[in-house]
Amino acid sequence: MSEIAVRPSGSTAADSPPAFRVLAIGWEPEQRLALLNDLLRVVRAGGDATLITVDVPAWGQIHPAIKVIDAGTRERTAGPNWLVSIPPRRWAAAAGSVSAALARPGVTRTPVALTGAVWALGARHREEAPWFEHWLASSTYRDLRGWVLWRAVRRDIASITPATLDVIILRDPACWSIAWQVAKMNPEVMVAASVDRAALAEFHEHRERWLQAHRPELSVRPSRRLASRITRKVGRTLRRDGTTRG
Amino acid sequence: MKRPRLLMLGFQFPPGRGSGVYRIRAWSNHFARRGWDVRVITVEPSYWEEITGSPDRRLLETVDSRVHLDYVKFPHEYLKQDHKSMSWLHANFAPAYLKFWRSMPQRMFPEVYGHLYPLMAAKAIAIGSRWRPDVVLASGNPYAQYASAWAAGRALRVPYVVDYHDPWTLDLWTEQDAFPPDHAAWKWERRILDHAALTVTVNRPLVQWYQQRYPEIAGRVRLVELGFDDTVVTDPGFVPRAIDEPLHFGFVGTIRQDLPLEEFLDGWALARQEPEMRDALMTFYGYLGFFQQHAKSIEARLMRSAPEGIEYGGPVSQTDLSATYAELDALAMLLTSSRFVTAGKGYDYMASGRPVVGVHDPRNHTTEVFKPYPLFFGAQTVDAQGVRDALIAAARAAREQTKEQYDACRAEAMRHTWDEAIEPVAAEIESWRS
Repeated sequence: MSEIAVRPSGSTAADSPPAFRVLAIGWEPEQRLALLNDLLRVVRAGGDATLITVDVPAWGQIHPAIKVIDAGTRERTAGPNWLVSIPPRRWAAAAGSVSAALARPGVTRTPVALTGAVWALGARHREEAPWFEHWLASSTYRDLRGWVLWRAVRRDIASITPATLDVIILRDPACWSIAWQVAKMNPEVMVAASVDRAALAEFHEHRERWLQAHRPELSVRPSRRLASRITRKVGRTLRRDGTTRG
Repeated sequence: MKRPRLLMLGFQFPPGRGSGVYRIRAWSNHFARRGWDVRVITVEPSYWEEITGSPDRRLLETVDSRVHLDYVKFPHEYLKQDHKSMSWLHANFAPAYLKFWRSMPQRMFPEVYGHLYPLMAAKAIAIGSRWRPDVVLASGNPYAQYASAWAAGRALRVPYVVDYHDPWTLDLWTEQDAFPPDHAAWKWERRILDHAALTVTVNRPLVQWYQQRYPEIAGRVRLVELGFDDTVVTDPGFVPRAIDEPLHFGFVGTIRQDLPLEEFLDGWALARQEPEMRDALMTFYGYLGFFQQHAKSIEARLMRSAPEGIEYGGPVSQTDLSATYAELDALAMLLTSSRFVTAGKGYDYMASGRPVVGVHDPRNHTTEVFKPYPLFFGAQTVDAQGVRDALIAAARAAREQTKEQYDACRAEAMRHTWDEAIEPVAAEIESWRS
């Protein structure tokens, strides 16, 4: 068994390599290419890229180094969508339990029935809600979608540590909501339509310099068993060549 | 006898920045010096801080102390592009918010600043009903303030004058109508011009355009050319450059996105290979665009040639222009190209007394203005070769410039002060009282 020890060559052993953290926000199909290209550039330069979007499969193959947050997973239950996506059957059930509760005299059963109605509406539901699809396609919803998606992703935002973000890129005013909320957590973050190539090149150069300065020296101490196995293998190869015999 | 009173509507007024500011300030200062009581209704200074990000406070000091300023509150949240300063409503519901603000102002007046019309009209009428002005004068963009002047003029029963820096219904760049024939802008413009006592504009081609477009008001169209303020842009002095010292060129003004920067930089690189231009330096002074969000892209375009003797010197207040000119040997005047365009900065450049390189289409009206200027070198074509030739010619002139030439340049400039330009129309307005 080999043991590999990493020994930084410089004195700043505890330093981490320079980082360049970019968050892209966008969901309209016409923005996909531009956003992905920007994020790819960041990843290739050694930066850290995150994408907040919806309908992830439609984006095709996304580079594995790009972290993706799918706001669509919670879109159905975020903000006002929660009400709209309740299937008619559940509304009917809730209305039924309310009317039944009101029809019965006595105060003891009423809260229970009402609680049941609220439970019927609030329980997780996966059924088709016909008006939800219409709502998603409506122009009114397009105007509100940015805020709804912010409500959908707000719990995931902590996972990207907004305080260390350098740039947010977006190309659509609908995405301002998420950018605005993130910028509140990190007032230093830059919001732009694309990544500044000069800044990225500068970061890349800086990172390369750092990596060279901190190139690890490998100290390999192979185990005796592994060493003898390698020796045997090399020896066999040489014998097959017929040039050398051990 | 009561002193005459002028009520001015000037959205673009110091500490704002932009070409329109100087002309409006010139009107107010000129009338104040003529013995008029002048009140200017302008936008709150916070507008300039939040939208352009860089008000020029020192410019405010160049406004005559007798001019009284009144501020109008102008909702401008919808114009903000900086996410961090946006309101919660604007940022979180941007598509709906912007949709509303794109349509609502247009219902009041067909312009993106349309809601300025009722706000400024109400302010003007409120002030005018107590203060009783003799004349209302609206100068410069937004065009909605011309409608305010029309409304105030009618309500207060006083003549009003509209001063167009740029025409509203003419596209300066295509030289075609800016709106389709049934657009509300035509109706509004006719209404404003029909009732205006005078329509003033900045150059001869525009005077002719107004007279042809509106023949019934042809007799009431006046020319007030742009100019420079000789009390602010003073004589920078003439100090010839030593023969072995490299020349220092400069551009002073807002570095707009639509300037022919690439053509100039290519021409500069070519010219710098010539012995006259060896080690020459070109400094761009001024704000990077009118709006904060454009600054980065303009800087990137500018600095692509940084190793070739190009540098960015940052903004210069108009109060520091003379000192800046004093450091330069020649000036490069980059302009957009249209026969209807006259550059205000051209008059400041004249006041420098230095050779001036014109980087714009020769059809630009500025070429006419500079004809009598002894050391003007206009590029024949706005491309690398044309710019190179003009730069070389200006470099030679700068090397050989004499004190006599400098004095001749200054003398020509002094024919273009604001007071010279405004005097005839101001005298006409004054004559209405008698």
